[in-house]
Amino acid sequence: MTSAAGSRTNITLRLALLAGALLAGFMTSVCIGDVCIEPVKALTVLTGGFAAGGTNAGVSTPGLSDILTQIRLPRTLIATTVGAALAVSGYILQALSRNPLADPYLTGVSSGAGLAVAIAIMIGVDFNFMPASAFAGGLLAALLVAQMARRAGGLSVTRLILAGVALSAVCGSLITLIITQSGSAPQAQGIIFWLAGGIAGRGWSDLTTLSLYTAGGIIATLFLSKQIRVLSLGDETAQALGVDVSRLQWLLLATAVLMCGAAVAASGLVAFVGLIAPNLARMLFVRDERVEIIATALIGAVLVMLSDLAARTLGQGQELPLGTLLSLVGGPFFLYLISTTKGEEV
Amino acid sequence: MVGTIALQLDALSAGFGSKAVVEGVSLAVPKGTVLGIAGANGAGKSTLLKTIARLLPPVKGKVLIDGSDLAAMPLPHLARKVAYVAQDISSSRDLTVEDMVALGRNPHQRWWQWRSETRDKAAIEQAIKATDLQELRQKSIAEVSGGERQRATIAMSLAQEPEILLLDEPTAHLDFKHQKSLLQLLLRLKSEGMTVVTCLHDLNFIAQVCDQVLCVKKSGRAPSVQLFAGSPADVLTAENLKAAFDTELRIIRDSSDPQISSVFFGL
Repeated sequence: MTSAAGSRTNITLRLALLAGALLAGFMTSVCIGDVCIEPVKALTVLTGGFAAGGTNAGVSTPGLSDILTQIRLPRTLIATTVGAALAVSGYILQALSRNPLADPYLTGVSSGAGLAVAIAIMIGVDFNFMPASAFAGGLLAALLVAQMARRAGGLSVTRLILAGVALSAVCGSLITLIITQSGSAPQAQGIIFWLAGGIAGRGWSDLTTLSLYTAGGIIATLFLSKQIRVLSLGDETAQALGVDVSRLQWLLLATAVLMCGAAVAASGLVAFVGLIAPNLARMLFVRDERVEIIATALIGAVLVMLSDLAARTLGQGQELPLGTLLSLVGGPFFLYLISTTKGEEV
Repeated sequence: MVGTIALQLDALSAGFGSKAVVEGVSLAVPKGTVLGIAGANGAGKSTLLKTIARLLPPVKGKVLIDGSDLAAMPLPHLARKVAYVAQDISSSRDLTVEDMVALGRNPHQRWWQWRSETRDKAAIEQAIKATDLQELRQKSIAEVSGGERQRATIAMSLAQEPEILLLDEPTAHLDFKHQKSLLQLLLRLKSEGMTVVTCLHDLNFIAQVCDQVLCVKKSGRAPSVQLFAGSPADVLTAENLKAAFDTELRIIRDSSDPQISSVFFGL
């Protein structure tokens, strides 16, 4: 399946195609919506707009410029970044657990974040603090799971997954309890909508934190890529090759959690990107971890960007939940993976 | 160079946590010699070897390398001195034989470094040649046979350029041809000053290559103990083997060379 994908030109070509897809998707996402904007006009606004400091320079309709710079652009960028963050986070967790079916949900990070948001909405915390609550919840869940997975000399991968799944179940039940027991319908509605995942209403301020964590996380992952390869030989062999396995595992886990936490904080629960993107990247590019990581980020970015575009354009009058849309694609893909993955790898 | 002590086990108890599997092993391994660890199934040979590799902390006692305590050494430093070859290695990634051998350079490189320097390349080439893997270098390690993967693992440890090589059952997956090449390789490494410690079931292999045999023996529920240690010619006797394996084994000695003996079932 993968042996033909080795040559250098081939790799460059594929990466270029992915980058091209990202650019094309970006332009489409910026131009299409309730108000459709011609690509040339959009480009004029974006380039001219930036030169003039984000104002409506060079465009006759002021509304158009606002739509572009205040709504479409940040939203598209957030979708792109969320995708890249979740995808690389999934890549790390798969490397860490040596299991291609792992993703951010497995570690309980996402559901921990979800529970924190449900509680925050229930007790009436201001909506501006939602990302912070999600982040704190995700981090807390990851620490709890990591603590349970701790054993002499490092993290037990099996325990990590078991604890993650168990914690996710507990958080899920608590969220359901909160929704069913909350006296107010708008509150329950708010929780459900947030849990379904979506980027509606996010702006530049959300992008800053998110992009910092994501860029940092991807760079860290690239730096750790050689050690990821050593770790693929198993804990014992990795240690015999001079790797402090326990420290490396903690470092990788922390990187994955920070990226995933930041993404969940910005977009709610968006499932399956962390699962699909690394697996697609491995199908398209073999053997070089650095290429895989970049491809994973690009694929994740394209996936979430296009899903977000679909979420806000396909719904009749009302936005479709982004997370739900992705799960519709991701679920069947997950099943396909299970059916094609050899037993010993899972 | 024989005479310098490369590795010393000092009243070593090996096991998991505070539970000893083997206890009270004391032994010195001179530089440029081969130590074979023998014993029945479950006697703790691999546990002992893993403790020497610092994959397990000692329950009691110490492992000394060139006179310094193994436990105090930084890991990359240790990995430049000691290489450990596990029984069966696989990767969760799709690596080629050459990729895997190249990972042996990890302790010599910076942790983020991918590019092989001239010295790395030379060590990788030498390791591939020594294990007869030239034809297989571009093959995926998931596709090669168990014996070929074992050779790739040994090549990876040679690329580490260690002073001490630890091998856990290195003949397990090898056919006769490659057992013989491994034997020749070990003899050559020994002549170049490498110290080797290996767990082996094959007493004939031990007799051919080892300068010392350490035999561990388990009795009942208590941890295993050091049953005997010495040169194969001295300690591979019918009485010792009966004590070690609880079964009668026959030994044939070559009259012209007392060092070489052959052990067989003698049914």
